[in-house]
Amino acid sequence: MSRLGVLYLWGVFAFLYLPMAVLLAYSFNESAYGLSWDRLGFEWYWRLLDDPLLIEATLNSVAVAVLSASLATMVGTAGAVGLHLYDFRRAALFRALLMITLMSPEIVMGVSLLVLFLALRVPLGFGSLLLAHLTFCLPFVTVTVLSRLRDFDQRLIDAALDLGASEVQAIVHVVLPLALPAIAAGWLLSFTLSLDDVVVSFFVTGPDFEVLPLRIYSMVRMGVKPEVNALAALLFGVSLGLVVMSQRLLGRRV
Amino acid sequence: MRSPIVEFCAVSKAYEGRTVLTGLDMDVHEGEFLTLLGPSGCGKTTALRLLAGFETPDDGEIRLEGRVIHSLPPEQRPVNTVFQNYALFPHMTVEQNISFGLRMKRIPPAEIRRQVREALDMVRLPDLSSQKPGQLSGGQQQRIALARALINHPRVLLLDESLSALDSRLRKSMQSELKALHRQLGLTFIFVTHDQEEALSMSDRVAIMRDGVIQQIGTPRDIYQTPVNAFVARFIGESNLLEGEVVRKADADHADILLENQVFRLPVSVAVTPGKRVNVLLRPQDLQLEPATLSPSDEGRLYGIIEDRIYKGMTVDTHIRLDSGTLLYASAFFDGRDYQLTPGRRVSVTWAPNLATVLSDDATV
Amino acid sequence: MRPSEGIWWLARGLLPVWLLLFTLIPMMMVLVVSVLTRDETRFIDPVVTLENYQRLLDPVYLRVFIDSVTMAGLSTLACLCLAYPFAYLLSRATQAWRPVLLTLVIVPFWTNSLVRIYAIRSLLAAKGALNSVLLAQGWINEPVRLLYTGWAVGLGLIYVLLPFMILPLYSSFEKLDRRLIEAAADLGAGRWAIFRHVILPLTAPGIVAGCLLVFLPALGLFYVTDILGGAHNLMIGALLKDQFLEARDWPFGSAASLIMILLLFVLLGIYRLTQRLAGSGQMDDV
Repeated sequence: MSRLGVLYLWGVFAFLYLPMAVLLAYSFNESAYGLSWDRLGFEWYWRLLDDPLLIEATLNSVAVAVLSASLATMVGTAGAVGLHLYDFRRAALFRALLMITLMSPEIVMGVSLLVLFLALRVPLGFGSLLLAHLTFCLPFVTVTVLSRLRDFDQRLIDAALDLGASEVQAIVHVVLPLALPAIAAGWLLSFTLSLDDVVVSFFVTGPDFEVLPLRIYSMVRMGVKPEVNALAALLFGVSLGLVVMSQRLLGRRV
Repeated sequence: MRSPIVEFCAVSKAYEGRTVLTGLDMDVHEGEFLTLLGPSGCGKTTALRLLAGFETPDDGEIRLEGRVIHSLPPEQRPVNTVFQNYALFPHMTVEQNISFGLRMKRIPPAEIRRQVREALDMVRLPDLSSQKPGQLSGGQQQRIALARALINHPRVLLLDESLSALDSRLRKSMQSELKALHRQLGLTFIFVTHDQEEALSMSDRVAIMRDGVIQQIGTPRDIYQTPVNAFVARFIGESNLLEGEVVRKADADHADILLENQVFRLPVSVAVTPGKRVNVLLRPQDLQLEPATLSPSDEGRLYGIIEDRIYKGMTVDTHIRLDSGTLLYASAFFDGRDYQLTPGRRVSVTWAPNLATVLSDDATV
Repeated sequence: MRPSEGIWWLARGLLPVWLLLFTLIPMMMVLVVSVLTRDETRFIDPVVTLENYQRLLDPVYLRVFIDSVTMAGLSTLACLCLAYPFAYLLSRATQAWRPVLLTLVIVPFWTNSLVRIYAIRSLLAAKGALNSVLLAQGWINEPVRLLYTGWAVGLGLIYVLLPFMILPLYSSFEKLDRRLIEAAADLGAGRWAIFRHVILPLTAPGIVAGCLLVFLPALGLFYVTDILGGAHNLMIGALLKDQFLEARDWPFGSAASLIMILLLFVLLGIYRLTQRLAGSGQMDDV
């Protein structure tokens, strides 16, 4: 690749990572307002642990994320297998629905779900949040698993059936184990999306159930708080870990 | 003698440390159908790509009609390629695909339409102009790819294993179509394949390559009848290659060779020294079989048991396990009579004296 | 294969039913609400009216709409210009580098966007890193006001949404058969002609997908305008948030949302069209 090409690539990467790197640096700067660099330490990180609202919000978020990721993975995988194996006429409509949900901007989703919940008189809180997160996670799992199924050798299923397995058995014993990495990657993706979601959660959560992104939102609006740097650094580290795990699962050597 | 239309002069090419071609010298005659034949990795596709312009040689020169072209980009070379998977533009119709080269030269639209119609007629697909490649069969795509290349009147047409994706019957019919086109157009065709039958049936000349070096280049008949070494012999046609050792040189054209525990006087065209290990080539159709009862132990015959007789319609193949353990294949026209040559029978094998070819492994031409 | 097991059939059917219930039907409900009237206590009074749509034509709201579309459009364009060469270069990287580079692109995609916006804010703030560096170098005498401007919002949008443009473009480039480019060159096309006739049409679906994934969210990411733009730049996203959660004028908010839903469907239609023209028809994503 040409020099210019390499320069451009790393230039864009610098753009993407520089602000985060600066944040990371500041998170270790213990002096007030971060104006001087004489004191470095983990002060702000410890402060995070002293914030009970933050801890509660984090636990809430993780709970919702784990649940929605798990449920989304189950339903999404089943749906992906169904879509892949059976070519019913309604498959086109199904795919269209998937596309729409996938590409919908969060605000449209937030608004429409809010209207739905009002109409069904669903109270806003943990339940509504879970339903909403499930909804936007589903298409991501489905697409991830579906693309792995596309590379799947149909003859393996035929062999299983030939040897006496029922349809369900063939799927459980042959398809799912081989698709497992993609399914796990789908779980990780859902977990992350749920954990990071701001807009949809903003619309559909209730006053009693605080989630991490919204808590961060309040903290950020209240002015510059150095603890947020530490929090940001932590979240970034978590994302990095999750991405590497997910990429490894999908077979890309990272 | 006319000068060749394409010349490779000491061309070398390496990829990521692996040398593919070393000092390749090859002349292509104008108007001939030349096939580059060899196992995968032998450099035949690389040579083609160097001529098309998709790669540049590390060393050496490539000339087209006397002009040095290896520094020209592909779009400026009067050479066109038919790719292995056809590389038809999926987003363009057949007409747009075929006319692509003409559109690049800014030929007026009316003229383009006329030429496209001619091209489609030439490949006998006149009604497909508004279809997209995705809607066509493999054979049709092949012909469109051919039309797309030929419409530009290249000086040389390159075909990179373009028949390998077709099923065998389609392949055979495409082979004769290609040959007919070649005769009709009088263009120089350079064809790359690993299928020796294909090479033999279509080409004016065949160049057999191995590890970046041309082993032999000549007419199919020459290569078949006088392969220069064991590799070429194994590659072209069916063969029996027996291992032997030179005992002594008998005269200018013959040598005594120890073969299957007997000494045979065989014609030699390669340099021989006593003790040298050689291969002796015997074509299956040159072997004569007799029940052993007719000549129980003659000199100059090899003896063994028939393991299998395979009837192939016009011919019958016989597999013979010699006493020494070597397996021989004999092939003959089947005339309905069995001559007591059934599996389990003991037979003797012989051949006409000048039909054995002595080969040494490292000779190349 | 014929569906046989009952439970299995149910499991498979759950996904489409769910999507129908939680995507399509709510959108239709929004449509319904948009033609109803506002009610103080119960949010919605079932009285049909087109007043909400008429209000949208009010110059105040039209201004918001135009500003939003302009801002989102410019950000999308900027993302496209940045991401297109990037995705191309990425697809040409050697096999050894590619997984690493891809991971580096995905990490910001998976990082909390609020956090990333916060990073931009602290960078641009009066006491932030950028100003500190400029002051320290002596290039300016007092801090430059970068925050709470349209530029800050634009930068924030680009920063958050760039990976969303990169990934579908990369997917398009990766699928591009290199031999098509060789074939075009073989037939006499120079670099520009190859781009115009082969690369551009075949990456068009990626371009549209990327624009979809950037333009619509750019209209709706209210926290970007909130954090980086202060109260000055009102965008559709903020408008929707206000109407639904503060002013409690759901019918009006629904009317505004419907505009976005319509935009979504229009863009999806364009995407389908470009896919068909490029000769493909598959679904793809990260």
